[in-house]
Amino acid sequence: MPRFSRIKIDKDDLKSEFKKEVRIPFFLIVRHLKRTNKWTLAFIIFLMSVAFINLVFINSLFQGVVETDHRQLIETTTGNVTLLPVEENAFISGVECAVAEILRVNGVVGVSDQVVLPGVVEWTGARKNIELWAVTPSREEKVSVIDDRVISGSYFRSDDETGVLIGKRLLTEENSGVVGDIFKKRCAVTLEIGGRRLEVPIVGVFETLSDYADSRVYVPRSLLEKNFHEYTDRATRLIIKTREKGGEPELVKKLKKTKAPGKFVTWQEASERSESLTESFVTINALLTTVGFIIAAVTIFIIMYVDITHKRLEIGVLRALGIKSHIIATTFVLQTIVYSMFGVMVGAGLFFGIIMPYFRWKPFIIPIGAVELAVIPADFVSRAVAVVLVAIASGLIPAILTLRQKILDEIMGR
Amino acid sequence: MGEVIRVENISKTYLMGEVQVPALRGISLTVNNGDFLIITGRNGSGKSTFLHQLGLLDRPDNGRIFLGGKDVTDMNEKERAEIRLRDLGYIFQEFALISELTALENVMLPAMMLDTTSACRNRALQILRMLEMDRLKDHLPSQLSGGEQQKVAVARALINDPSLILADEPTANLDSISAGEVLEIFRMLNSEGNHTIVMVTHEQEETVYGNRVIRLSDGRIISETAGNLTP
Repeated sequence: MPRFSRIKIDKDDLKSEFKKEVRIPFFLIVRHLKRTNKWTLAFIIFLMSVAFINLVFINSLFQGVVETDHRQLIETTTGNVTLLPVEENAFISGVECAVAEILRVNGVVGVSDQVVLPGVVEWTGARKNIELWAVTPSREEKVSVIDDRVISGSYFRSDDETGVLIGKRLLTEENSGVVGDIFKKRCAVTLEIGGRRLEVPIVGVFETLSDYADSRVYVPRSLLEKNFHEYTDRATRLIIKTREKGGEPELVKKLKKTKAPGKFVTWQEASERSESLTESFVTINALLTTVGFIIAAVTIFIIMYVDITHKRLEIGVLRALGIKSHIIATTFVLQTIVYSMFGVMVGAGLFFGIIMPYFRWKPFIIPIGAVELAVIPADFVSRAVAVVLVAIASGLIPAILTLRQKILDEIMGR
Repeated sequence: MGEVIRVENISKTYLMGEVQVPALRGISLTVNNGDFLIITGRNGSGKSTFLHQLGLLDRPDNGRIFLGGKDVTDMNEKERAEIRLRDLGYIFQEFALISELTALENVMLPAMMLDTTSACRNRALQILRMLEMDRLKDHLPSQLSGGEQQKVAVARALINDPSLILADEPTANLDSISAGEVLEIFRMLNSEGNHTIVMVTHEQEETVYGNRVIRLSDGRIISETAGNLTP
């Protein structure tokens, strides 16, 4: 047996207070992560990642719906900026001059003059009320995506082609079976406009996945003007496309300086429906996010409560050794921070690596279009931070509850 | 000879459901520097409860406890933790090692509140070497026998060089050889390291290691005798 001699410690020779306070928590956490059951650790991190994904997914889904709605509006209906007639007029006159003026404005990539009229379409015995969109095809293809969304037949080959492009939603159960034969049989529809009936061949069928857009019939302006001279050089609106989304209010200011007659409005102003839809989704999103936060908080709290409850003996021993309570609490808080940060990282990996690509491959098809998940970086970061904060609280509360118990009760498991 | 512990008329009653069970009934005692006090008695006599009071793991209902001349009875938890850390070395019957730490890490842990990691590591290694445990320094508690775990617990109790070591039935879970080794360590700590030791045991043959032996029954000291050990 070796001989003992008391070891002298210079207890005053201490490092800074902060280093001393965090040394033990880091020491314990590193060992815990190294030696704890890997499956348990993986399970805890997985649960944290699920809580995080739950928060991000709901937000991304609603953001995706809102972005799809806005994109569809801009690409099929309003453009980035719309020129509307002044209130007392139904039409904008001097369209050709206005188009030329607007095209000179920096940032404008296309202008389409449109006449939108109510009408009726008759086809294979079915009769439907429709919106007839008379456009100049070469201009329309620069501002909308209709030409890219033709699923059968083709877009107008020239500005003075005689024909109609019909939206897919106008195909009824009775006539959808003949879609494949439309062009072989040179099918035609009967349009009823202002009490006059015109028989016009179908040139194509388009599908944007927006129920609103897919219920329209497009005809070249030349066809309309040939039959209704009053529409010559007149339009119900001009649709203006810019290079990028986002600078519409500035562009409107520039456009107002032109001599174009009418009232310029941004796509948001042009569509009240979109604004109310966005507001509704923001409200639903906020509610579901709140519920998501509560679910995440409860999930993480239960995980940490169970984890910390299993460590009552360890907590009791640490206290019996003289380790101060706040250092023990710090240990568990740091542990939850580590768990939650790994959870966020794994969650982000699963979200960006699997979930988002999956929904890009198989988007949700809803009446406004094909919805993919959309992430706003600030929202993503704020949810990641929220998960970590919730985790801190969820680690701290059970740690404090345990630390308030008697040391002996912890050690003896009472 | 300086006074290390003075206990004045402490009592402790536990509530078991609706029944009050007195565990300590007015115990008074003084332990001097260099004493090796053995506390013995039958199960339920109150010896572990008494040690818990001395180790500041519990509070008496009545009476006062002085450690190193300081009244610790009404100290707040922070002050009591400080005393447990610096001045007391507590050895549990069940070893109470942290399962995720190696032997070396378990020993150095309490010292990390007071010193740098490298200094703690060196000191822990030195103590483990003294206890001939340095070859097992990287073993986890689950990889050690009961005797080895108790030696690690002893090393941990020594790491901050406490003036007082309290041991609660430290040999209860050990085979006779390991128990003998642990008791020999206590004897040497007391005689050569000048540590004051208070040890609870229910093994009659272990009383020979102390210089004083008190016997508890029903929460009272019923006898005090001199042990075989010469202080």
